[in-house]
Amino acid sequence: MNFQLNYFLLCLSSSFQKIPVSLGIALVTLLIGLLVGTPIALTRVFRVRILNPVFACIVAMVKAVPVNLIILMTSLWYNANFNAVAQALGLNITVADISKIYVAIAALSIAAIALISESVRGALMSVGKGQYEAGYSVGMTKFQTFTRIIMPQAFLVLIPALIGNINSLIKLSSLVILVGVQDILNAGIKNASIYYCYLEAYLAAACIYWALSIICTNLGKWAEVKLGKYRRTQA
Amino acid sequence: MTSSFFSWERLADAFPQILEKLPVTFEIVLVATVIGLAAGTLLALIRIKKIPVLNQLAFLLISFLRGTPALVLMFVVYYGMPMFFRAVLHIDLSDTDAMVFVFVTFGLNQAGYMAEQIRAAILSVPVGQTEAAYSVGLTQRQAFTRIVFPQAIKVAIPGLETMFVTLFQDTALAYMIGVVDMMGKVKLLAAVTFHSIEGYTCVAVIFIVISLVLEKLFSILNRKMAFEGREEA
Repeated sequence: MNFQLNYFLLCLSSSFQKIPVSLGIALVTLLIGLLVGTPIALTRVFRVRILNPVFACIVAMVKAVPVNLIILMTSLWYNANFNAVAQALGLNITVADISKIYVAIAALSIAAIALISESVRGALMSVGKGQYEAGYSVGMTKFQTFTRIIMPQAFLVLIPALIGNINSLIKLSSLVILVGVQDILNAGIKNASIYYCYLEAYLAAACIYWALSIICTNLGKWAEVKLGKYRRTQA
Repeated sequence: MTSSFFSWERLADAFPQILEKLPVTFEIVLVATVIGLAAGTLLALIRIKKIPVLNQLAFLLISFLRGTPALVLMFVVYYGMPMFFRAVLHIDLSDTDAMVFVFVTFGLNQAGYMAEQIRAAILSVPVGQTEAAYSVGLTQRQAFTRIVFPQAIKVAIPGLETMFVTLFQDTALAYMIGVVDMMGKVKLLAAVTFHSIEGYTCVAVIFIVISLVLEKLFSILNRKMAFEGREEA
């Protein structure tokens, strides 16, 4: 058995069509990560009592656990408990009615929240303490200082970091195969199970992930140059 | 269903059996790190010296290794390596232990990341340092090992820490090609007991402990490095 180019192209085209699924999962989890991760980062940057150590502990724990394990545990819990929870809420739906993609998004969001809260925290910490003091010294309130002085500066650091996070999330989205979502990887493997062309299928998926990652890396570099320039003229 | 979902007894039962497989994880990490360091340094040197053709090939390889998920890379190696060996070298790999493919996968994966880390770290040392070394009569190798390398390693440590933690987590994929590591053990136990959540919980706890230990180790290492730096200055 040798490498079959026609199977490779077949897998490449069926994987290519599923790019929106993987990108969609990555972007939705990024959005959830931002929405939940930002408040977490804020409580940590401003050292809110009780919440800061609690979140620090949770984030460290989530970051320590392999993402595929998070996905497996979430889907197990979901499959075992969803019916009971839905019944308690008075909803007339069962496990079978809900698409697996939501389970995948929920599980990946857990990882994304930890990942992105760290990025936001890093971006906010990159702004020096003197900037806060300068804001206060000209009579701005805490809120004004944060929104007008700190946020614009942190944003410049955050954007390249978030592009890096999208890159990681796209790669992590390949793990949704564990719950059976039809993404870039799974679309190719579907062909593989018919024609027994596993190498071709995985190689095709690898090429697509590679291309996506090159796009992300260049986007990140471009953003860094662009935003860096903006910062220099500011100074 | 809910009541039988999780049981502490099964957890206590599974924990020692899963912990028994922890050395497999360490083995993968160790071998992958050694392969990664060797291949990564080679790739980094090719890139820094800008050896024609090899430089472009190294660039492509590094970008491919960094751009593909470990899961996909693992299956490409698992299916591709036997095919390549049979077609090109006429060696039959059908009886090869799955561990070998895992070693190659994570070794390559690490090589890609390390190459970039090492390159960035070496390039972070100003050329003036090398020139100064030459001016006092050090050879090229002496200049690298005594002047550039000690400064570069300090820059590389934080990046290596992140890579190391990620590597530990990625090894939890090895069970998918049939290696009986901690995750593989959970699958085996689940085949008998029909319960895997307790096993997964054990694995999660073990990984949390590993990351705590790693963090502590690297903070000690960082402090040591910072101290040496101050002494030099």
